[in-house]
Amino acid sequence: MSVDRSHEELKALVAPYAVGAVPPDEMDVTRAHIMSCEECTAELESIQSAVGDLAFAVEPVPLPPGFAERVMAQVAAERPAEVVGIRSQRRFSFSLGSALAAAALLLATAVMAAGFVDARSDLASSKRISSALWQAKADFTLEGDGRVYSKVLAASDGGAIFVSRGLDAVDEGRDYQLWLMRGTCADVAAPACRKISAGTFEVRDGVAIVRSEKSLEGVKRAAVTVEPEGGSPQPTTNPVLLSA
Amino acid sequence: MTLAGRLVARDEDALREVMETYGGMVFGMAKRIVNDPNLAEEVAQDTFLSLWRRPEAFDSRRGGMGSFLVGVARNKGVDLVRREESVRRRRDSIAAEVEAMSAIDPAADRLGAVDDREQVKDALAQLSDMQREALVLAYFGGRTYREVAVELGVPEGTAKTRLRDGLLRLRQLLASEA
Repeated sequence: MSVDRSHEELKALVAPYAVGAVPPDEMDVTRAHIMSCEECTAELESIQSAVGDLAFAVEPVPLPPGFAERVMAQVAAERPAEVVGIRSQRRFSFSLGSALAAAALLLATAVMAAGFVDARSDLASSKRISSALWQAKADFTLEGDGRVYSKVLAASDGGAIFVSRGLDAVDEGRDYQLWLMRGTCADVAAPACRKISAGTFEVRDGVAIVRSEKSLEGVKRAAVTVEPEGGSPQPTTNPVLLSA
Repeated sequence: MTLAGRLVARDEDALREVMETYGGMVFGMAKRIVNDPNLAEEVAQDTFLSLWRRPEAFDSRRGGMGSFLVGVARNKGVDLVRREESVRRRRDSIAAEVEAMSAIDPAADRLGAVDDREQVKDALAQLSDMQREALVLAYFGGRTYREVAVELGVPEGTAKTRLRDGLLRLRQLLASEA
């Protein structure tokens, strides 16, 4: 059982993780542990520059003729269509740094919902709460850039909680927005995939926690996009994070 | 404005410039991983398109655009290889892999980043054979640490340790040269 794996065992996977050599079946548990463990995050940061440098050792091979034109044709084909409006959603914004007091209750609901720990015993320690939240079982794991770890889980009151680590802060005048998608969502851009806003959020110190009253009932996928400040009725950009 | 900033601002010329500058590195990595020119083009296209779709994913504080794109191409290539069972994984001998990493192809030098490449290759050459083999197989060969262990005939724990020690040494070597 993955949760029984020791810190030492998982810490040994930091270097394989950094070079992308963790097998798919161990990826989730490895990433979840690294992101919830200060020591492992520090180790990852200390070796990441070496992995970046390693990229320069690759032998360049000239691109095939017409390569750039083929890419640009695809770019042209993807230029965004017009936006269909629905009423805007309430704004939710919590960061781990600023909202710990308010977060205690919502984290407790998340943690209890996940059945992972006895929440009351953990309330004393915000650090342990967040650790429990990071380790709680996800209903949706959102993939994006490899260093971002995000998931959505059901809260016991019927709402949803989104936690994310590793996202960059967005530019002034923009917000992240969380979307829950119902319907037929093999193609998330299709109208048959209904995108419901679960609120906008900010990232502070790389961490974001969003509490939404939206239910996960019938939700097929979850996504995060970057939108103009205050959010959009429907996504106007491609997701930076998307669940499978 | 930086190239990254222009991408965020949806400047299509910026994407062209990115492809001109880093296309060779990206395609080189893609070819190494998937070992098929058509699949390599698919991986390279996908790499630049994902940069275009999510330019925010690139964070200059974490390294250069080249490193970022090569890493993306590597991971996309590995995913493709793992998905497509019809694609037979290249099983070059370790010796050939490692030799390729320590040789410098003069024809490739025109394609940019030569100083960086020589420096990194120098550093790779200074690792122990065991560390270099493990890193080259994992990073440039797209192998998991388990596959590295099997190919090197060592326990999995040893493969993990060699990757870690190799990266730490590499960081030290490159930091002292900078």
